[in-house]
Amino acid sequence: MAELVNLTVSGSLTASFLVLGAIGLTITFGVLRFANIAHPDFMMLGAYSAFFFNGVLGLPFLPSALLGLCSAVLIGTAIAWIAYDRLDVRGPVPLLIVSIGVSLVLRHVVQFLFGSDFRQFSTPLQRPYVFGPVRLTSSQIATLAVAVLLVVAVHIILTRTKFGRTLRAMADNPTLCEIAGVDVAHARITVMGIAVFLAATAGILFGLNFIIQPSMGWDFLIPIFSATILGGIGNPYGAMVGALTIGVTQEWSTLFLSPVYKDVVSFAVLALCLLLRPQGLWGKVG
Amino acid sequence: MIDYIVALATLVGIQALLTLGLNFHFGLTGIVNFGQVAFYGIGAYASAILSVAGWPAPFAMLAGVAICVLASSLLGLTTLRLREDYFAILTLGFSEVLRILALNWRDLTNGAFGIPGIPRPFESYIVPASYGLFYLALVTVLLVVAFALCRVLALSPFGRTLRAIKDDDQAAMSFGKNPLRFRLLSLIWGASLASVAGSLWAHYITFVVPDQFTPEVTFYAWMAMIIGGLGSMPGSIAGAAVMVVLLEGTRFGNDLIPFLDAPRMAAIRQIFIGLGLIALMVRASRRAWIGQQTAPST
Repeated sequence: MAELVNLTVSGSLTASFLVLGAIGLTITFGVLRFANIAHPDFMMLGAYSAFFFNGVLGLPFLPSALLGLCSAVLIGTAIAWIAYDRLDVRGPVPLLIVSIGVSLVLRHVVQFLFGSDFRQFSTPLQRPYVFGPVRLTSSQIATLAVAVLLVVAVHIILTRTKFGRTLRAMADNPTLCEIAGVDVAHARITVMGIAVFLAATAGILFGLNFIIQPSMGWDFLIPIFSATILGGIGNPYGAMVGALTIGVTQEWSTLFLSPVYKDVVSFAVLALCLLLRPQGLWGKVG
Repeated sequence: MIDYIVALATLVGIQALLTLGLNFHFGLTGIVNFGQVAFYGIGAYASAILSVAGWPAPFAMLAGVAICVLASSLLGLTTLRLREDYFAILTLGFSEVLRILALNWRDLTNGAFGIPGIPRPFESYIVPASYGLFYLALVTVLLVVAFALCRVLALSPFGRTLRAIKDDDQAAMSFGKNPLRFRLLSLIWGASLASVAGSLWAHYITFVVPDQFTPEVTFYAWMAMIIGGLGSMPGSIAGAAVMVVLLEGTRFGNDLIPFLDAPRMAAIRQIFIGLGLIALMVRASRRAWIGQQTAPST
């Protein structure tokens, strides 16, 4: 029982990274209308930007994380804007192929600059807090808190602000939005910015808890896409539920299976779900 | 030098088979298959495992094709109904899941150590010095047969139906065609070609390891297909030749820029491949290759 509780906790931790990645991926899809393969690489970009300030320049973790986040958002949004907006490639499949190119370039530029070895943030030593059978470090608590906070923030932006309304309208019908005088170009770049921001935060949080590597984005590809598609691509709330499902299922599966099969498990969950509901749990048909 | 050209030509033949299969999927039928490497890997591993166990190479190859037919039918039946971007992600995931299985199912695949010592077919009948040439001939014969079959299929009523489905699902349905069935057949045929390519690769390199079957292989095939032109069978072969020469050519980069270590050099190579992919798509959209080509250039 204690083991199950602990696995659920580490599942929620995994879900925190997944949910931030999956929300960005799903709103990108809703507005830009393609599956961005490079999206998990923005997590890697965030982690390495923070690592640059923390590991290379030697700043303490918190300022490094903030500076890294800012630079990752600037770089990532610029890359996304150029690749997906300025190059005049249109249509879901051509843009998907472009995003594969972006993913390759991002990952290997980082590998060129930082090498392909595992890296770690230097953070102060932490004493775990003990809650009954659960032991949590302050990094883990911070991760869960930031994830919950950002999910709530996304919810408020989506439901309470003008931009959220624009976003939902664009996901629903982009042509109609344009006719109605919505500044589509502005909305597109803002969405990219938010998506990169969430992904980079997830990457930094991941680096806070584990070790980072240029290929970490690739390792997140299957779970993040599973979470996104599970919830119905384009639906941010679905992505939240999807991320939690995938994160917890992955950890529970380690009770019966070797941890190397985590990706296989998330893929199996996804395949099973799509067999029953081809549009995802809360997706629209078509 | 001659040996090097023979080796390059052999790789071109194998890459061309893989690309032909993909072109059948995407260029002709519009199936967005990002998991072509899965079928390539199945073929390679089937050949490796069975021929090391003593099967003759042709039977091992046929067994690989049979497994691929089964795997692609299963994949197709479950996923072909989905939207194209879902399908793309699922095929990509499928190929990664198979690679993870190959990496961890040690009893069958020997995991990360791979399977060495795959026998070369008909080796005892050929003078060792000319074996490379013989293997090139073998690859060429299979490629020519596959090319002819693809052409016949593409020009037959079957191929016409595939193009009709690609252009307009609903219209094809209103003529009493079942798009799912035709897409499935197209997927199986392209997967079988990939499997043959994988078998040829395994017997040629005589060593398989899961690292050879990363999604990059799929991306290279996509690049070769786009370079050659969507739906064009001769284009697939030309595109494969361009890709192999580019990929093998950049391996000599190390000699040109000696002050970079091997991982950095590998990174530069991948950066160029990524930029190449983007450039290809930009060019392709300018020329409206994607989505608008309807006339078969076969």
